[in-house]
Amino acid sequence: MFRNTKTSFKIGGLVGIIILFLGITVMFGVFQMSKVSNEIIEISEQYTPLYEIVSDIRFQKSNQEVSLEKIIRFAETGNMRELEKTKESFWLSGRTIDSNIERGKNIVNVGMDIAISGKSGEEFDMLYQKLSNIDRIYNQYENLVGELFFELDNDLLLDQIQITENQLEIELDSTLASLSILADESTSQIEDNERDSLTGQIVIITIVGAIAATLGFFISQINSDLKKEVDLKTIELKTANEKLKELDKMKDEFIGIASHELKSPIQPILGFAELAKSGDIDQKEAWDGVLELANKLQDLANAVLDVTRIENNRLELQIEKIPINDIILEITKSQKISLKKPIIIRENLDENIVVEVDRVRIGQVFRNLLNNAIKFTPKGTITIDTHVYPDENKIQVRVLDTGLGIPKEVLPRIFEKFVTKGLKHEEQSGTGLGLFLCKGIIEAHGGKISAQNNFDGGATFEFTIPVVNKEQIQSPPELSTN
Amino acid sequence: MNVLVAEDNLFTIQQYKRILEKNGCKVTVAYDGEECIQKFNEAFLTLNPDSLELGPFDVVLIDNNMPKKSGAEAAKEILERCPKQRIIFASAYNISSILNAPGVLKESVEILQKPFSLNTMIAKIQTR
Repeated sequence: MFRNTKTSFKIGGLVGIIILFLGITVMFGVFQMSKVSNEIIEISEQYTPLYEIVSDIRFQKSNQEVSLEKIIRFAETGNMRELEKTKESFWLSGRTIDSNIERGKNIVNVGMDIAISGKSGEEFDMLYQKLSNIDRIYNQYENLVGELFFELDNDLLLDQIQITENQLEIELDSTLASLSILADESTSQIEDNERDSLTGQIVIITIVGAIAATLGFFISQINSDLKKEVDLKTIELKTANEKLKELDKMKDEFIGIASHELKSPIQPILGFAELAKSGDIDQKEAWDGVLELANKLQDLANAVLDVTRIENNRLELQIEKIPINDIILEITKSQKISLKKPIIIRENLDENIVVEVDRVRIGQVFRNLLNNAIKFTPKGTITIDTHVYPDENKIQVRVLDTGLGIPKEVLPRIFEKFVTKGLKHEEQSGTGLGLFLCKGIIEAHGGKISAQNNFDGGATFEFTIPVVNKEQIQSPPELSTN
Repeated sequence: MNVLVAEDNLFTIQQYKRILEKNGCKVTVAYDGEECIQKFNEAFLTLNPDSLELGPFDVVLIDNNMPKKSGAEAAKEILERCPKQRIIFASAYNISSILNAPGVLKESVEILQKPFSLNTMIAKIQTR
């Protein structure tokens, strides 16, 4: 599950980074372009009207020159009516020139506000200077002409007017020349700027492309990792599914066998009742038989319940502190009393150490192993030995017999359910679940149980459990699928 | 009557024996499937060559659920040797599923569904 989140994080992170990069570069590009080109375009837009204005000033100016000549001529010929008319037109042109100069100055002011870079600012300063010059010279010119209109034959004034006209002409020409140069420059600047921004865009797109390709490569690798992961998980799921199916099948089998086992004492119980009723066997025999069968039924029912608890990891242990030898000796003592075979039970016990166990459950395991040893030993010795390993926090308990041993075909599966059912000498008394329960109980204690045949005959069962139960709570016994 | 009884429950087999002997039968017992075949074969060897087909016993009563060899397997082996041997099948299992298993059992065997009364068993064995 850890690997899953890691991979999705990787992909999510990479996609996020790609989007971030793309966003940043596009934003940057757009901002840069708009900033630079807007300035240049707006500035260049100021030059054209300026040029037109100055041209118009010059045009009006030449009109005035013509008017002035006409006025002088009309004065000489005494055509006063035409003279006044021409004067009017002269002043009309003058107003146009004044307003043109005013407009020109306004445009230049706007240009100064727009201009961000120092160079454009200087250019507009220069233009403003020129317009001021034109304004100043033209005012001079108008004043002189005004004076002239009172004494039209003043040659000195005419000379001065001529000089002022020339100055104005020069100033206008130079302004127009500057403007046309500036307009050309700004056009080429716009072209440069467009070329620059195009180059910039190409560079940005290339870089972003390279980044995207790199990230794409990583993503494709992550993707293939992910695919492998999915494949792996699919296989794991398949295996788990098969395991579950197998477990389910085993459970069905267990239910089938268990219910059959629970049913099987019914026939002999009915038989006893029938025979006792008809007087074919005596009452005591019948009751003994029924009692035994009822006990067997109870054992079986308990065992089935325990199996269910163990398989569902719900075996609850009542852990208490108790000397291990006390549990063992109590059981061997009662077994010795009821022993009906020529068997010697020998205890060979280590230190009577206090262990933390469920005394009933551990007693159940030990009793089961001892009963099995007695059951499969017609005659001989059964040895109980214990060994304490203080350093390893564990105690080993062994039950060795000199009996028949475990059949080879059964040994590997001896701790499974119903495997021992029907063994020779197993006879009536077994449920076929005892050793399965032993394993479950020992594993719930955090211990191990094993069985083997002795070289010189008989079998040995041994279990090892922790002396101090660190977990207190049982560790679940692993589901035996083999 | 000469009866072979195969049954792994000790109590049950004692009860069979007692009631059958009370009704004048000669009873041979077997505690598992293999022993059943073995006892059958022993009896088979002593047979008069004329009655080989009928088999050595008047009835073979077989429990299906037995160690080593199931009742169905034992019955099959017996019928291969003596096709006319009368066999009564006793089982707590769903018997039809056993009989429907591949083989020749269906036509040849009679059935006693467990649990049954011992008198029912006697009645079944004595009818013919």
